[in-house]
Amino acid sequence: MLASTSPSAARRLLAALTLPGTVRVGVADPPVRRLATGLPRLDAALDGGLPRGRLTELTGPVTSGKTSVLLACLAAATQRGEVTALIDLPDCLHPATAHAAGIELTRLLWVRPPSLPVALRCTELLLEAGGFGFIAVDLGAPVASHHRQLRAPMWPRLAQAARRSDAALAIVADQRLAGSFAALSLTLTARSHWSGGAWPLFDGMQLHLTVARTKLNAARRTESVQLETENQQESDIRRSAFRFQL
Amino acid sequence: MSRLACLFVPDFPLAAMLRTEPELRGEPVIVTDGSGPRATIVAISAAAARRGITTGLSAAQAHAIFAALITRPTSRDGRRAAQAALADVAYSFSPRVEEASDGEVYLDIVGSAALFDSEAKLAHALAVRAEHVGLSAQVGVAGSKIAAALAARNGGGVTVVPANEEWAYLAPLAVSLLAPSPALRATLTRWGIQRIGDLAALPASAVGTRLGPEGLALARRARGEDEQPLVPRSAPLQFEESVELDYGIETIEPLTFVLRGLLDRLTARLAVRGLVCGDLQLSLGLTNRARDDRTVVVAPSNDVKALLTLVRLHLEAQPPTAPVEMIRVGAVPERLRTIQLDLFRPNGPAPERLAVTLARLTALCGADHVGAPAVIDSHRPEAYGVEGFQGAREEQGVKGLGGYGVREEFPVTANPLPLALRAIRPPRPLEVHCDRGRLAFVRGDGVSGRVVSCAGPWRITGEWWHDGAYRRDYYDVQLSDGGVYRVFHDRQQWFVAGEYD
Repeated sequence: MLASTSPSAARRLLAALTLPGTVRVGVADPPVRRLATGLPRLDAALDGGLPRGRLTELTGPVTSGKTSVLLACLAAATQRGEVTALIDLPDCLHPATAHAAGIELTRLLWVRPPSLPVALRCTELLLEAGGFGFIAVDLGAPVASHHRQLRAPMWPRLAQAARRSDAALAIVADQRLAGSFAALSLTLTARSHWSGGAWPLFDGMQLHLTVARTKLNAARRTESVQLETENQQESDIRRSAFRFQL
Repeated sequence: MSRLACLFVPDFPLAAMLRTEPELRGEPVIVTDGSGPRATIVAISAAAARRGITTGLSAAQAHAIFAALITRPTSRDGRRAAQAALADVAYSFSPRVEEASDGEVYLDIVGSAALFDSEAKLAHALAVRAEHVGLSAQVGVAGSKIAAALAARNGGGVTVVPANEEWAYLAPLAVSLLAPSPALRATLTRWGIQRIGDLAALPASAVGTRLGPEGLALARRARGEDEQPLVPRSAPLQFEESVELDYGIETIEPLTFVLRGLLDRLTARLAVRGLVCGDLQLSLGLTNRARDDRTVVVAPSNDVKALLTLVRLHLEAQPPTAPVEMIRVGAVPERLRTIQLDLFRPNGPAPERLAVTLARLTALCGADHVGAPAVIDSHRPEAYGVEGFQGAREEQGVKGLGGYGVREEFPVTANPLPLALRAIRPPRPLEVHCDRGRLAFVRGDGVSGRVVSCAGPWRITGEWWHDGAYRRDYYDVQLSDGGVYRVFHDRQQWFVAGEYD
C-alpha cells in the first residue's frame, strides 16, 4: 500500500504524524473570540476586547470607575446587537445613567436577585439559556459572611457554563474572587478631578486600568490603560451657568 | 367527480379514553356510561372481549365474569377532545370537512390527492396522522359518503374504492351494514335479501311502493348514492384538552405528570394543523368546588418541556388553594413565525428558552426584579421603570448595516466616557456634621469619612401637587476613603443617594 504512495504524499503523511518522541496532549483550543468594549485603548490592550466564553473580573475599590467601564462595555455590546444581561446584586443600576452611557435598554436584561446564592443561580440560568453575548454580574462589595459561598466550587461551574454558552462573563466586585478560574482580571483605580474656585464641581475621574491577570496572552500581563470619565451632570450645570452668564 | 375520504374510529368511547390513558392499551378495559355497578358497558377493549365481556352488560356483571377488569366511565370532555383531534387531522388535509358523528369525519380530497402519488398513500397519511393525535382510525376513500363510510368501517384499515366502482365494492357487503331499522331489516330478511347488491338491483319504484320512503332511502344508499352531499363547516380554531380525576391532587409533582399528558395531546393537535402553542389558559377545578382560572404567557412553541416548565413555575408561584380534581388546558393557537436571521448581528436567545429562563428568574427574584430597565418621564432623580424583556426578536430592521449592506464601524464610546452613578436604593439616612456652614464629616451605613471635597448644592423640587413632594439640595462629596458620593438634604434629614464609580 505504501509502495503505491508517491514520495511527496508520504512526506506529508510523516509530517502530519510528527516526529517520534513528539507528545501531543489534547486538542488545541480554538482562538478565543472577543467582545469589543467600545474603548479603543482597552480593546488594543486586550487584543480586541473581553474574551467570549471566559470569565473576566473587573475589580476596584469604591469610586474606581469599574461601573463606568462596565456600562461602556454594555453600551458597545447592545449597540452592536448583542443581547446582554446584568445581574445586579446591590440593585445599583441607575437606568438614566445607563441610558446616558449609550446602552440600548431593550437589549439589557436587568435581574436584581435578593441574595448572593440567588445571584449565582441566576447567572447559571442565563448562561444555560444561551444567546446572550455579554453577562455581567455586579456583586457590589460582598460582606465577609458571603465569602464562604464565593469560595464554594461555584467559579469552575460558572467558568464552564460561560465556555459552553460562549458569552463573555464579567464579575464586577471590589476584590478578585474567582482566582485562577478568571481568564482575565482587570483592576481599576481612579483619581477624581475637581475644578477649583469658590463653587467647586466634580468634573470626573482619571481611570487607571491594569491587567492584573490574563491566561490568554502573557505578554499583556501588567499592561495598563488610562481612561477618563466625565461627570455629565456637572457639565450640564456648567453649560447652564455659561448660558446664564451670557 | 367527487372523491371523499372517511375517517372512522371504531369503539370511539374506548378510543377517546385510551387517548387520555395510553398506558391502558392492551389491558382488559371497559367503558361505562356512568359510574357505579349498574352502569352499562358502552365499549370494551379486545382483551376484555377475549374474556367474554360484551357491551350492554352492567359493570357489576362484567366484574363478576372477570374481576380484574379496568373500568372507566365515559368522559364527555374526553370524547369532545378526541372528536376535535380527529377533525384536526381532517382539516390538516382539506378545508372541506364534515363531522358526521362521534368518531366519523368526512373530507373532500379532490385537491389534496394531487399532493400524493395515489389515493392509497393519502389514506395512509391520514391514518398515520390520526395516530399522531392518539387515535387509531380506519380510512375509506370512495366517490360518495356512504361508500367511503362502509369502506372505512368494513375495510379494517385503509380501503380505497376506485372511481365508478362503488357499486361493485358495495354489492357483496351485508345489507345490515346500511343500518336499516329492525322492521325493515326483518322485511328484507323475509324477502331473502342479504347483500347490498341484491337490494340495489331492485327497481326503485317497486321498493318505494312496498317499503315506503325509508326503504327508498335505503335502496339509494345501497346504490352508493348519498342522501345529502358533503356539508363542509369551518370549525373554529379551538384547542382544549381536559381531564377529570377520581381524587384531588395536592402536590405539584403528580399535577405536573397529568399536565404533561394534556400538553402532549394539545401540542400534537396543534402540530397537525401547522400551528404552535401561544398563551396557555389553565382552568383547575378544585375539591372545594371553586375554579382556578389562570393564563400562562409563553413564547409560541410546541416544546412540551418548555411549556410544562412555565406552567409549573406559574403554579409554584401561585399554588391553587385546594386539591385539584379537574384540569383543563386551552391553547391560543399561533402561526409559527419565521425570522430572517441576520448575517451581521447576533441571533440572541431562542424565544422559548428565553421565556423559560425569564420565568425561572421571575420565580427566583420576583416579577418586579426581572426585566429591561426603562427611563420614565419624571424629574424625580431616583425614578426608573422595569419593562418586559423581549430579547432581540421583536426588532425590525438592521441597525448595523448601511443602506447598501455595508457594515458600519463598531460603535466606539467617546473618551472621556460618561461617569456612572451607582444608585443606593432606597437612599440611606446620613448623619452630617458641618463646620462653618460647610459639610465636614458624614457617617452612615457603609458611608463614613471626612469630607475632602464638596460640590453643590443644587436644588431639585417637584411633585408638589401630591404627598410625594420633594425639595432637595444635592451635593457631590468626596470622602477621605476616596469615594465620591451624591448626598442630599430633604426635610431636615440627610441621605446618600448614590456612589460615583
